[in-house]
Amino acid sequence: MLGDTFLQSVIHYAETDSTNSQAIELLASNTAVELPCLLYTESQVAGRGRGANPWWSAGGSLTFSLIVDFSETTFSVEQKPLLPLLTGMAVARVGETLLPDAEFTIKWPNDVYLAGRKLAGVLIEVPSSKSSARAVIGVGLNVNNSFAEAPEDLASTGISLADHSGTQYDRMEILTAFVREFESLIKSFTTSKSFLDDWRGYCLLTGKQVTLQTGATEVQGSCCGVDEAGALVLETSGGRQSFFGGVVRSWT
Amino acid sequence: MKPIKKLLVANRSEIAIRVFRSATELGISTVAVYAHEDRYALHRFKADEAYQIGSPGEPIKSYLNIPALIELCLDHNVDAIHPGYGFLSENPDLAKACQDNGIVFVGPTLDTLQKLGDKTSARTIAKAANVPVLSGTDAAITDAASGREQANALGYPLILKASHGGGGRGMRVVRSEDEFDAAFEQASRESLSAFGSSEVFVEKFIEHARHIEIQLLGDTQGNLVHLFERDCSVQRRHQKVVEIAPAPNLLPEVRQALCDAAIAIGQQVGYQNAGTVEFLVDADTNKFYFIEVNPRIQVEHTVTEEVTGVDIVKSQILVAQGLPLADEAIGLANQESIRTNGFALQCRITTEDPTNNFMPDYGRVMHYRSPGGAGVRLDAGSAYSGAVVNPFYDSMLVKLSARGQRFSDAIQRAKRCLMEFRIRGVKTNIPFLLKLLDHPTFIDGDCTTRFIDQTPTLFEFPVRKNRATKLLTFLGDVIVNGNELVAGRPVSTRRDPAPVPHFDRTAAVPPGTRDKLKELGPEKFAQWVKEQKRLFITDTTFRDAHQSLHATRFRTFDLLNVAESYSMLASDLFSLEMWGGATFDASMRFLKEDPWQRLADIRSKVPNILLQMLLRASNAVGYTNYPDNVVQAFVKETADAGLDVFRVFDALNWTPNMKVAMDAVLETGAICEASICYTGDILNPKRTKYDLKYYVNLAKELEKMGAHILAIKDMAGLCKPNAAALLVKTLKQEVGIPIHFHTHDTAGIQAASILKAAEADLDIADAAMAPMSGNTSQPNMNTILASLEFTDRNTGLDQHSLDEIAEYWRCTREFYAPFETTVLPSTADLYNHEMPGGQYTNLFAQAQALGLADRWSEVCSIYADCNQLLGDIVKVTPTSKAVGDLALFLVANNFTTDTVLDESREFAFPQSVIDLVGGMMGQPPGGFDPKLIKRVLQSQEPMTGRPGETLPPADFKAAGEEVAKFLGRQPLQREIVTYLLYPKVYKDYAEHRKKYGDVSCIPTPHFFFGLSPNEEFTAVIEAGKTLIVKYLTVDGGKADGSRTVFFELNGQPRDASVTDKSLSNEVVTRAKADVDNLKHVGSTMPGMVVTVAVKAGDKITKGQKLITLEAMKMETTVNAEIDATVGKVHVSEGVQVDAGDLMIELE
Repeated sequence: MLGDTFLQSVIHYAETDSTNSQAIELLASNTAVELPCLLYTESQVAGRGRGANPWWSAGGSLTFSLIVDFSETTFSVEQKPLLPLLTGMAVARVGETLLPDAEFTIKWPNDVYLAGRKLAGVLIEVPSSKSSARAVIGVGLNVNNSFAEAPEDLASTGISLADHSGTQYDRMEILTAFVREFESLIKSFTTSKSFLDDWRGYCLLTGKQVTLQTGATEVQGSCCGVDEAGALVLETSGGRQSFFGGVVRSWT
Repeated sequence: MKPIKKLLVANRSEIAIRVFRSATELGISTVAVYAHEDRYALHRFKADEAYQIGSPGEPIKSYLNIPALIELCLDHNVDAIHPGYGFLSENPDLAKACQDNGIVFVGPTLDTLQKLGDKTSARTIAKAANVPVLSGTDAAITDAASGREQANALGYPLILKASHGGGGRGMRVVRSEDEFDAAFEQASRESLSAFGSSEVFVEKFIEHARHIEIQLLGDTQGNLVHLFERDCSVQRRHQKVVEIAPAPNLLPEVRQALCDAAIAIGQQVGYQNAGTVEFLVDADTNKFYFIEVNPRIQVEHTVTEEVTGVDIVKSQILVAQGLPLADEAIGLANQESIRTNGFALQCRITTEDPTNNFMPDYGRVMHYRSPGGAGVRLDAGSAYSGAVVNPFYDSMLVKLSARGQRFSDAIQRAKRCLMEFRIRGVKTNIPFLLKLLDHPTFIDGDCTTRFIDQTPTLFEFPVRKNRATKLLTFLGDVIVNGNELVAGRPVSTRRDPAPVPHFDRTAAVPPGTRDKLKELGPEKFAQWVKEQKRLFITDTTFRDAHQSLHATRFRTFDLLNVAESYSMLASDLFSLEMWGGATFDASMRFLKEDPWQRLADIRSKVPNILLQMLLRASNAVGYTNYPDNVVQAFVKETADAGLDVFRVFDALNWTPNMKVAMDAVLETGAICEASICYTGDILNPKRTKYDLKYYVNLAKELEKMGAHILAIKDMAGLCKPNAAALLVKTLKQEVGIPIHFHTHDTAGIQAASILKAAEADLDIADAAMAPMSGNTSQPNMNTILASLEFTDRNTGLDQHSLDEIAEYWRCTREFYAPFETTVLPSTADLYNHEMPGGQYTNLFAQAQALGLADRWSEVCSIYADCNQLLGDIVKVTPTSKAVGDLALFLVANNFTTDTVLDESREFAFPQSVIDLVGGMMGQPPGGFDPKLIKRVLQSQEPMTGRPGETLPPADFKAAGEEVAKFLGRQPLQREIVTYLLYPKVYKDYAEHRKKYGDVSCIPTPHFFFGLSPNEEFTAVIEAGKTLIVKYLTVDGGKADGSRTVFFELNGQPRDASVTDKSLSNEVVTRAKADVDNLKHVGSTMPGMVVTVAVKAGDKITKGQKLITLEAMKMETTVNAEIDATVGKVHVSEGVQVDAGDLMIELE
């Protein structure tokens, strides 16, 4: 994989708590590591989602983290918030090459949905402001794990590639395809506008009634897509507003 | 024949309503279906019965639910279904279900739907009918070489398309053989990455294609006719935008061939009911190719109905019942009986924002007003005030069809209708449609399918006025947040308009001084003034009176209301002083008005009396020296705008400083009134600096410089009655031009000075209307007139009329209660400190702010000392400010003027003092004390020449570019001049104007204090355009800090959304962190605050976590960079921040 992609180093764990946690520790320890660096594992026992949410990493799923230094990319600080959007789009595009007829969408900012169910989650962490040009991009992608065996609350909302197609996939091929797609998106990134024009085609929420939780309050509105900074735009009763943060609680 | 009694339309919005209309005309009962999301949609209410289908959350799916539709028909005895367009209209399953359940399907037969629904079989049918189809390879190309061979066989140009794709990806146009290989490579690669398959095929490419379609109508007896063609070439990304019937510039033989081809295809399948055969016509060769058949009614069927007179939907229903076309209810006996008459075009009006890439806009239609009239047809869905446009459905609001004898007539009518629409609350594509209809290619009827996508100029839009919405937003803001101009000030309770004096509105405008000036020119006019027996009066109420009494806050609205009364009732006035001084700055800075507009508006209302202004020579209407070319341009623009008399003065009576401005005035042909500023006391033999001789010399010099009139500008009211008499008498002997006396009544005795001067043959005197006179304003005009009435200096003005005007001002003054100032007693001390009227109240307020109010007499006394220290100078803006600043500085520090010269002490002098002593304001008679210069300027050298000389000329071109940037258009010369005089003030004003429009039309009580519920006012926004605004109520506010303010505008409901500043501390723009200040913790990216880990007073150490930010789920931790104590935390959890916003201050 090192020769095939822009990766400079790859770390493999047979089993680990969470590749994102490992990546952050790695950065904090000042160990010399060549970036971009990929950390992946066969088995993640304490996968993390946003905030305190766990990530169900069943056997057959693909979990990995990518450490990138985007000070060497065309991204500026203002565009940094586009990284999650870009990662989600890379996952969706890999999915499209495998299942050309399936419908891949992205729930702002970066959850990838297949046929209306969650296929992949992304957790990006920026260790601290000082080294803010570095980011840890964690991806959990349901490949061969079947949601028939998932915890009850996930069984009806999650999906894997295998669930959809009935066939098994080579996870390393998917991982390589993702790294390539991500690299090509980062390298061909010219303007936010052209990127966002493409991204809008994947938006799951556009046109839907969305409930967004920001801190302690909830905002409801009809989703008008994303603005030029990638923020979610809702037409609320108080007018059109853009949101950089918040959790989409529901959409109809 | 199977009669239909009850018809269900399996569709929504305009097409459902369209079908109901024809059905009702045929006496058939109508049934609507609606999804939960459509429960307020208009089509529901246009049918005799309406039923909800599907469940909430299925806005589209509900309309596609065949079992539910059939069940509904069976339950409610519906015997026919019309599918409209879209949804199930081309779905054979619905036709099949109808057939199985004995329901009439208003459309072609099931067999026809099946045959035409499949693109390959439709092509086969066309080929069988000998109609050309667009040729291409049927199978995917395997390699470049074989592909090239196939391409060569087809001929160029051609297009490569992805087999599994759409939407433009993987498409390549190939114009010649040598381009083929590279294009094939690219298309395959793109197709692979986009669609997971590298399969591509080729098709013939038409460079300039017209989309022409033929309307067919067939009956069940086998009769088939066409209703000619429609031109649908005007498309945006394959979406039709404007459709035309018949197609302009279509050769008759091509038209005939198309119609024949369509009939041939129809006959192949035994076509029944209405359908459309679509073709591409190569505009270069006139060859045409079959695309597909639409076996249903189409959106654009209206234009065919308009030009043929055939009701297609009605015919559909009749044919479905088994009637032949020849039946008189349909009336299409044969093809020859069908003719077209004139042209019709249809515009699809959608809620898409053409300025934002046609992004669909949702929300409530706050206001909807549609056009009408001859030759106009509207097919609307839910288009009415209050309708909600939701995102689930297509964004078409209404279809406009316009008819005309010629194509150009139809275009003109459509344009008129588009302009007549008023749709507010949601954005529409109307501006785009207007651009389109104005484009020469469209007007010439030469559009091809890629016209819109290749014509970027269609997307450049003029800024729409939308004045009413802006005005309501401003009023809403004042109602919710108050007007900051009057915040914390006394409230005015007067709401009734001030009574405008009565006069005969039909009478001619009486001639006045301006007519005389036009007749004689400035020099002869001045002589004429001298020869008149009467004392001329200038009314200062429009300018100096409110500048002296109300901080220059009088609005154009109130000035304009009474202007015409002056022209009709006070035409014997010498002039109205109404511009310049502080009005220029204050009108923009505070009142958000255009000073130029004020001048132009008053000019148009007062064509007969001279308009006069105060010009601060090289300071123009500002407070600092401007480059000569700015002063010259300003004077020229002002004269062009209609001003007649320029009163020019210099604060130090320094004539070199006046020359540039005076020359500029003389060049314009306006009256140049040069001023001598009066100070000191010519009656006092000890005050030798400013004695009679000084003023006489000055006057002579000004006369020599070309002044037409000489003004005595007694800004501090120091010119005592006997001094005035002496001065005027002497000047009358020494100079040959008229004398104009201006004084302030600070001492309460200045009316006597005017009367004494009048006895000494004074020509013109300044006075203010009684309610606006006295104190720091001018003496009382009304009583001066009365005093002179039976003397030989009788002014000729009508006392009764002027008293009526005075009454207007008395009432108007009540509006300005917030700006009334403390009236300070005027004692003879005035002659000691010599403070000008305006400064007298100002300086007191400044002293008050410094806690020195109780030491006021001390301030006055030190002011006098400072004047002496500076060498006894003329005190008027800006020199008076320097004296005042120095006085306050000394009193506040318990210093005296002796301290200033004490060389053992170090001082930081106020900037105005440094400017004055450094020669930046010009040179006083006798100059400054060298010792003082050294103390104030230290090692710096004072300027001895004219400051304006050393300033580089202003770059008008560069300034114009700056202005164009924030105005968004090319600026006028006067706008550039305004910017050069007041860059910041003008820019702020321009931004206010952009946001709120012209607010000068709002009556003053509402401008300052908004409206009470159910209060109403009328505003004239331009001649003949009147808005009646009624405020209803305001809602309780929302979480995001906004409130909706509800109005009635011309009787229609409207609302405005405004930010309530008391609710939305979080919404206000945050201060930015200073990046160089380690104690400022700023946001590193735009995002939301997730956690705040510290609070004010916490001791923190370097590296400690302070705040976690999240943007798009990406978390960033902000750590402390130093050891410190937390001072102030500016954000809380859930708050949105921008990059660089100040979040925490450390101590």
